[in-house]
Amino acid sequence: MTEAGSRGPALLARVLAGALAGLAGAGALTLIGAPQLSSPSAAAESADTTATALWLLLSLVPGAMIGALASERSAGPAVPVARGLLIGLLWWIVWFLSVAPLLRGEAPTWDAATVAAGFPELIADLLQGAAAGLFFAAIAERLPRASAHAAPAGLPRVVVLGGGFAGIAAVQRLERLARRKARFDVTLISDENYLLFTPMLAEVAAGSLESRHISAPVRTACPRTRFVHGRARSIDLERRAVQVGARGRRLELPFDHLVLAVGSEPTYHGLPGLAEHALPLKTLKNALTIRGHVLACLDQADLEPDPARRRQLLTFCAVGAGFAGVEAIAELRDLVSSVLRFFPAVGRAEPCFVLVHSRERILPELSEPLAAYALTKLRERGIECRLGVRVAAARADALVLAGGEELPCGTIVWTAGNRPGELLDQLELERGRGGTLAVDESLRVLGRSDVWAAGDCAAVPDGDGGLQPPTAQHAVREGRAIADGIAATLAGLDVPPFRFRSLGALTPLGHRSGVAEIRGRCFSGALAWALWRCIYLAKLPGLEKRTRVALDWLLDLVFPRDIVLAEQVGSPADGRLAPESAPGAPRENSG
Amino acid sequence: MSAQAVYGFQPKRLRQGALAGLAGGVVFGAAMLELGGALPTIAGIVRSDLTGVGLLVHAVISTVIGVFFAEITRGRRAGPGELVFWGIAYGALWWLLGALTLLPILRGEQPDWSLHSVQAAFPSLIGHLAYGATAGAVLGIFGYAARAGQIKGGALLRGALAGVLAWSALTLVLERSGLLEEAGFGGTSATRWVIGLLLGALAGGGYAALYPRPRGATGPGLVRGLAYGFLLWFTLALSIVPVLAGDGLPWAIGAARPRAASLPGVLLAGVLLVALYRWFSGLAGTFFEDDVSELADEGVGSRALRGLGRGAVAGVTGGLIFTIVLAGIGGPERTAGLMGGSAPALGLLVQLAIATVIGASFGVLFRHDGDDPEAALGWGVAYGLLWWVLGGQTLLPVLLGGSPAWTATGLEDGVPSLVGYLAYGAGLGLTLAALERRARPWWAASTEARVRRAEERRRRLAIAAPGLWTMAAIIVLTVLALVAS
Repeated sequence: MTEAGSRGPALLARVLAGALAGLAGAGALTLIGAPQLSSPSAAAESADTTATALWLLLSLVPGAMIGALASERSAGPAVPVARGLLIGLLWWIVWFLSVAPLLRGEAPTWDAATVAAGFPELIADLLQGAAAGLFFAAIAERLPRASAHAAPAGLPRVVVLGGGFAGIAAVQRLERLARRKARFDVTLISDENYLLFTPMLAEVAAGSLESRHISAPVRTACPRTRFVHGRARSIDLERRAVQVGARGRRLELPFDHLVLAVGSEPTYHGLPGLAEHALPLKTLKNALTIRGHVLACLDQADLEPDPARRRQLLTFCAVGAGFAGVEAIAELRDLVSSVLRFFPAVGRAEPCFVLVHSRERILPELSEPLAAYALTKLRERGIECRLGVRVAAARADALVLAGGEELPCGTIVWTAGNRPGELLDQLELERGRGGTLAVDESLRVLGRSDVWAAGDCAAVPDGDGGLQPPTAQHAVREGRAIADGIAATLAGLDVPPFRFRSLGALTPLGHRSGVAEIRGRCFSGALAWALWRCIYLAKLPGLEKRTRVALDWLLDLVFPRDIVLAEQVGSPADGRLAPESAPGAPRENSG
Repeated sequence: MSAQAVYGFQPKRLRQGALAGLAGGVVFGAAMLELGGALPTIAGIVRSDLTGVGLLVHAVISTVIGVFFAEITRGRRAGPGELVFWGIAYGALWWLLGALTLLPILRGEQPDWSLHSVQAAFPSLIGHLAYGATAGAVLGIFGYAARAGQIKGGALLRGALAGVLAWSALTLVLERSGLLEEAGFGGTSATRWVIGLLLGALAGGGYAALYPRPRGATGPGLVRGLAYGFLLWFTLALSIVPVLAGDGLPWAIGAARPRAASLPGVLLAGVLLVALYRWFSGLAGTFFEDDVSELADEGVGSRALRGLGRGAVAGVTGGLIFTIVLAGIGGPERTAGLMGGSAPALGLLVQLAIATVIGASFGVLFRHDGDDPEAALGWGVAYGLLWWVLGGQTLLPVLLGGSPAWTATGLEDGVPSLVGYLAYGAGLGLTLAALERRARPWWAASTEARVRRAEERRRRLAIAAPGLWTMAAIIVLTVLALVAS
């Protein structure tokens, strides 16, 4: 981010030079000795000398305006003279037609008769403006210039790792602060070049939203920030530098302040077979893979004569009944139900949906009645909810539950565990729950004054002895708080503790139903679903994306879901999954 | 181009300037010969009263100030359109400085800037404007010679079509308002339409020649249309049409004043012409432009809504200023008539609502060029002038059941609201600039490439825009000189 330089003194110099030029312009006209100048403006009834002195004094004002409006780039006399003519006209309107009558105790009329009487002043003001512009052009060459695009050398360097909600919010806040005089050299590093709006990810998996419509390019979201599309390989806290791999190049980015907002990635808790056979739902690619996988299952079931094999292919499981798991199973059911007509050999009663959860109640983030409502609604819709059941392993054709029970299925969507990325493993920093980074109430990583953490990768204290939940609304506030904290630190001020109370939580339960809890008020059914759509549509980044998602939803009302399989998906029976696309990245089914 | 070439001595450019000045002088001189009386006055500079001496002095002065003109526009890399408008502004400045000030002094007299004197020098004002336009056009032609092949047939065709449509609309409105004779567009219907079509095609083709590729935001384009309309007025409506009709040059104030009836219409025709030309060019670009980089760099939806919001806020600020003027001239009662009432409070509310809507349109139309206070002030004043012609003198009277107030008397009655619209425009522009700078400071760019892009945009603005803002001031001056009594 570049610095505007010392604009204040440069502006003052221009204003003073303009005032001087205005005086010179008026002086030149006075020297010409035009008769009208002996009785200028409001001073028509004053003595000639006083009137001339007043004329000269007042000429400072339009002159100063000419200087104030001048920009750094002006070169040559043409522009200042043109500006002077315009200012002259406006000054005549302001002074002669408006202020002067008021000073004389008369109401301004601005009528043609007054204008006719004021023609000498009009011509005088126009000429004085032009002359002032000419003099200013001569003086402006010698004025100090603000370094409009000075190199960012010497600015505090802030490196933000992660382009999720917390990272983008921090960068956008830093950009905003930069407009209010606080200057930073900000670099954002992310291995995705877009901000993913994760609350709508399940709808992409269900094919009701186009994948690109729920993501905003980082470069447009943070236009004044240096963006490195790459993956941070290591962090040297001693040397205060981040090593980045980007497009085959290795970069080292030094920092004065480091913001860790790398989010989390799925963890399978070491359970056998899950890494190979389960499909996580964290990224756009994950969502597209799930959609492709489900459609491939339907394709294969349409040809499969063996009933047991058909049942396995048409059984869709989601593990974990938090927001992500509930949304995923509900949306999968919607997807399968809406496209089933295109697979004539598959009966309507054949598809089976199972939600597996290790606890006794789903949606622990919501109050008990809402969770109960959601459970009832899911069961009404034919989704089998297996509560209090733990997963032990996974195979290509079945999910193995604790106790040995096998659940034949073709699709396993995994939402039952996340952990911070591998990058943080190498840092010798204090840890919180689940391997997250322990931070203090100002969001600084414990033991460091220059490293900050937010979002899913941080254990942020809530002030009541607990931790802030890892949701988007918290991540956004934490990111902003970090930006404010960095600005305060650089200004030598204390950083206030981060405090945020959840505004509420909403989740859809599939076809026009949902649950919501906003500031303690509970909503369910179609109203909650409508609230979810309205609120999250409003929270989508950018009008363009909002419009596209709204159109997607609108078109979804009148057209069937698309069953095009653009991605190459392997046979679900193969159990063959793609190798890791990147270290630490979730495994993808790419056939 | 090397730095030496830009800043050093360029004999070729000076020769071009001298020729451009001489060409302008020939046009102006021919007009003075037609009008009579002015050349002996110029000869008075060398203590003579002979027309021939006056013509010679005039030619020398024209040539010298043509050289100055070439010098101050050198290095600005202005296109022919910009040069014509800069030329008109330059001509107007020389009218103020030369005809009204230096000429009397050189003849041993005291300068007189009273309305009487200004109106007596009205033919000289039109002559100076014609001089500047000609000098600018000739310099532009020299530029074309250096950059051959820029004008394409398609652009000329689009321009001619836009011109024909705009001129036809003008003729229609004048006909329906019963102003044709007063505006000097009389004659039989067939003759009028044939001449109208020819003049429209000429005007449109001329604009296309000046701006083969319309670039930039729509708002500055409309202001350019206003300025082009003014050029059309003093070249066509005040010169070519009356000469073709055998009426001679009606540049004297007594003859020109009735023809003020054509001024608002031709100004609006200019705006319509440019709007249509830009629209046709946009369509042509959308369907036939091979090079995608020549198309708009972003969709209109990207920033239009934010521009709308900021413009509306700025419109309220400008509207409050306007309201002060309006309340002073008893305008609220008239504005309330739009809603079928007469209460001043209702009128003020209506006025504020209109100001907000116009402000919102300003925010959208000038959203690329509003973050600089100077530019915003210039565009704001010009936009205020445009809305005085379109709103105050045209739409408001029509909506109140009358006809456009385009006659000299109507314009004279509209002088207070002209002041209000100009003040409104200034307030609107400066407020929008403050809002835009807060939201989108051009200097806080992240990379050198972005800085260069911003600089390029600002450079283009610096070349073209100040000439147009000055045109707004010149139009105001001309209107006041024409209608004040």
